[in-house]
Amino acid sequence: MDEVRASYFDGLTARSQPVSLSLHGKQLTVSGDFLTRHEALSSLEISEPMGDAPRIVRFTDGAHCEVIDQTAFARLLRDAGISDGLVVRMQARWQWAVIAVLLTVITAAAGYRWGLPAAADWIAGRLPDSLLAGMGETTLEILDEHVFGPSQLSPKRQEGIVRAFARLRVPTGSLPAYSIEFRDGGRIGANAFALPDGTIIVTDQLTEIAGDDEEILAVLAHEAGHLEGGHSLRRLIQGSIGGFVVGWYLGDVSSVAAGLPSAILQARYSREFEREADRFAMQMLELNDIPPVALARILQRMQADMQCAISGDTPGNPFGDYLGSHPATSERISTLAGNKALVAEIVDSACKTPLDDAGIEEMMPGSWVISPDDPDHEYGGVIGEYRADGTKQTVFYETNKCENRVATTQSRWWVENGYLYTQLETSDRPDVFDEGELFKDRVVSINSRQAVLFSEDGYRLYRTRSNRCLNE
Amino acid sequence: MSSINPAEHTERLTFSGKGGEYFRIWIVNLALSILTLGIYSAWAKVRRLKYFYQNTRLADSSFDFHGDPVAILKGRVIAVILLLAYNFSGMISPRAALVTFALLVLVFPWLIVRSLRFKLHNSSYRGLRFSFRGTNRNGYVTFLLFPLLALVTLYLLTPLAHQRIKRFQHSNSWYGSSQFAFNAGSGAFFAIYGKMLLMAILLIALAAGGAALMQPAVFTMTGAGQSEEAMAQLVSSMLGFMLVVYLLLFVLLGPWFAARMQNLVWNNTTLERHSFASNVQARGLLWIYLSNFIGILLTLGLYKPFADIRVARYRLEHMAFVPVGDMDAFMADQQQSPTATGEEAADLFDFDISF
Repeated sequence: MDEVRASYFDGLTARSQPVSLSLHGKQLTVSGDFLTRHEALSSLEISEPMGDAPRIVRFTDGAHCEVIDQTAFARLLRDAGISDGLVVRMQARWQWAVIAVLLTVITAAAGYRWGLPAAADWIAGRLPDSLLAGMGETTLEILDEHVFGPSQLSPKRQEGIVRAFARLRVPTGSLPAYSIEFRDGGRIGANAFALPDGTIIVTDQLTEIAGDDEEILAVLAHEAGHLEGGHSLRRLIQGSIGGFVVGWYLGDVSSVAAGLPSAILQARYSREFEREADRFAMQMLELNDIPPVALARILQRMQADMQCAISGDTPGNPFGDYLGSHPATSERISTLAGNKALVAEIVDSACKTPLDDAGIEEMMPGSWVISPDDPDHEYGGVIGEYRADGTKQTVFYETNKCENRVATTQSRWWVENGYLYTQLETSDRPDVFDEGELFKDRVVSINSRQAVLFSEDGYRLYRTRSNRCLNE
Repeated sequence: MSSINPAEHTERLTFSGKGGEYFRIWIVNLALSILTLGIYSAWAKVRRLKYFYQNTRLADSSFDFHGDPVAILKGRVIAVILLLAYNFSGMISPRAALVTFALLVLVFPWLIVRSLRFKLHNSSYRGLRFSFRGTNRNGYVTFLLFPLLALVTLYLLTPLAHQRIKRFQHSNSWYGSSQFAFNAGSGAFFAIYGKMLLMAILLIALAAGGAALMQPAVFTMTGAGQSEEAMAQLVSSMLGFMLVVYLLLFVLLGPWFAARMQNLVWNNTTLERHSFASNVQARGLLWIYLSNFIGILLTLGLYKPFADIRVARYRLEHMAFVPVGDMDAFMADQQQSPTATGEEAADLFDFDISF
């Protein structure tokens, strides 16, 4: 019979005694210089293999043996008919590790895609109304304190909007309980929000930039879509759970790293909510014979309003589309409107506060080319050099890689009331260019890298600061 | 103190855990935890602790962990409930959040004491259990009063609060019938915190100098124009600068602080006549932390088990036990036979809130 060497500890002192273990039928025999024990195998607790760690055999009275010789002990266990548990066998193999990785990734992805929204939905439906009311009140209080001012709209105008919206028919029969509040948007500008308790906040600025009341109703229908879907509440719940899980997984790596991913995770849900609310709004508008394009128009106005307000610094932000709370607005607009010319038409009227002329004048000097996202980009290369003395030289090329110069023109440029004027003076191709021709473009936004102009004939022009063509 | 006996020898701690081996344990248990909606995570934790304990050896014997997964599960349920309560009360109103926060602060010391008791009662070496016998009263003094004191003195007394926490933990710990003692005064803690503050100031000054050299434009702009764009640019570059400094401090000073703390705490802990020695180097820890951080980021967390093993190995293998005389002489506590300890531990739960 095989003997396995081990160290015996009696559980009463820290003394270690060398012993040998051997198997006798259903009994384990422990024998050393000063002791002999016979224990039924079934009464023993044998530790799982843990790499190079000694195997531990625990006795019911608190004594135990530590076995260093893994292979001999494994043989003894095999003889005794004791096999490892399922999890232990899985842990021992790389195949199972790979399967576990795949399983973890798939479950996490599925949980994020379906599980978390479903769970948030379930929880959202079970929260008491009093809790929601409290949440709504608190949010409004905070916003009133820090962002909003009292509405400057006349009570009559406010009531008119509320009434008009109440008259609309709803695709689902009736809306959840809601109330409409008007506020001066302050630095938020033209916008509307839906709070968990059914409060819809509309800023004065939104009613101002709206072309007509149908556009205001379209925004309200969109916010009603958020209410109908319980979006703001679900966003909160998903944020809490998502942050919790990510924090748990990345745990002690670093609290810095843990915060970021949950913000990125949120963005996806955010986009989905916007699409859902848009769909609801479209249905509602159609039901009431309002063209859904009204929503596209007001969205575009809101975006332009925002761009005017912050002098166009957002286009350069590579994370804009992922982290914005109303992301991918242009994508939503084209879904709703399906028409680019319309989009351009709206920008001009929406940009109510023009950039100041001196500011544009200061930004203009330098060389500008057609941005890759401008529809004209593929037609040919153009480099326009704006000089501080009010002259401009433009070189036209056959290709957008700036190959084969076609023409050079000399112009004068100036800025007036937010418009950039360019007048052609001379060119080396009089057969193509009309001398004295005047161009008048509204400057939508301009910064050190990019300019967005809006041409008189209704096109949005994108320009990038560069003295070379931007070929791929 | 410990060098009176010239014949004394040191017993180094050794650690035989391996990254690949632990990775398989970690990932299989993680997958099972996810599939069971987190319930299995308590069993996973026991297995994880057993792996680390049993692979830690001192003088030819290994440590062992005896925790009951059900007790850990109970603790986790409580932790999740408390966290959710805190999160949701924040949604209702700031006042509700404040009340919940106050309640959390009040139960926190009690939970920590419970958790310390659970951890030590379930740890053993050479068949003898460790135990923690700190009272709830002292727990409240240590984990509530002193941190509050640090808070009202604008963190000036943070080192003192830290020292009280370590003293409470170590001097109330027992191995069998032998009590640990903690001999480091708050002066040594103040010294480490003071040095760290000086280094932080030096680092910030260096970083500010570097930034000023690299971006003179930003600084002249603020002087020249009051335009909003200039301000916005300044604010964003300031934020970027602060983030860089924060990361620098975190990456460089974090390991230094951890190394100095471990050495201070263990070099001043004794178990009757026996003592401990710790010589963790800031540089070694810095390299491990830094490479772990990068590895975890690049592998989306899959490197985590390897990282855990590396940290454990480094910290454990730079520690030693300095026995005076015979280590076999330790005795179990007669009032608490191992089985009785087990029964008592049944009413305990582990409060695991590492995040």
